[in-house]
Amino acid sequence: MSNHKYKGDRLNWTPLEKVKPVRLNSTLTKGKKVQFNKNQNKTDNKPLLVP
Amino acid sequence: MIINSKGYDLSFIQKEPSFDESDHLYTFVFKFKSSVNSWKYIVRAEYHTGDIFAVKFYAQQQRKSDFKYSLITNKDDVINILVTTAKVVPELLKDYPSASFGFTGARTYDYRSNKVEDYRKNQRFRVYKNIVPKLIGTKTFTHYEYEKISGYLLINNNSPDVYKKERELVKMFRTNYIDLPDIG
Repeated sequence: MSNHKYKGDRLNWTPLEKVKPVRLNSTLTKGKKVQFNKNQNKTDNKPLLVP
Repeated sequence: MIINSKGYDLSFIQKEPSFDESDHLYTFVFKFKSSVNSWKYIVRAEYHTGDIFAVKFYAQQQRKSDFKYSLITNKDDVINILVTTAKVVPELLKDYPSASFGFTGARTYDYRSNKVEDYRKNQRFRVYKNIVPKLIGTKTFTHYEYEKISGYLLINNNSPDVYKKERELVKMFRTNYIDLPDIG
């Protein structure tokens, strides 16, 4: 018998039938401004699509 | 990580009206084809009150699946697919120069074990968070991340008060989408 475990088993994910909707509240939707490193604006590091 | 992929040409398909009573007003639909795996992909940019697009994509072959945003295709060509999807941003900015953009990483559904990953800081979010700053800079947008729901917002710097705009848009999404989509 194979001991192979699928990804969801290995990573201990939630069985589909137990997945419940997640109510969005102010705690969950508290964002954080993304900080970019100083090298981001160097010529060779310019964003490919939008400046 | 250095991105050398140029992506594919994105073709506009149609503008779909939204018939519900929500702040989702209409959707622009695009498609493209991967030359690596020959699959076609659909990109949806859902326009909402507040001048913001929610961007989504899925493989056309999986369009009928309830889990089309959550499946792993194992068809490779990920970077080209993500670069092409991100091309909707400059494309839509031509007509919506003050628009902001948002997306969430869908929770992966592993059909073999019938299990779903957590909604916090999920796999797709971690990939998007790494790639987006290399495609989209800070001159046009201020970037915000939401690890607890695997979300990311690009707030257009044309907004008079970017922080206030970010709070308004988050509130709009919270009001319209009371629950985080479980999977899809």
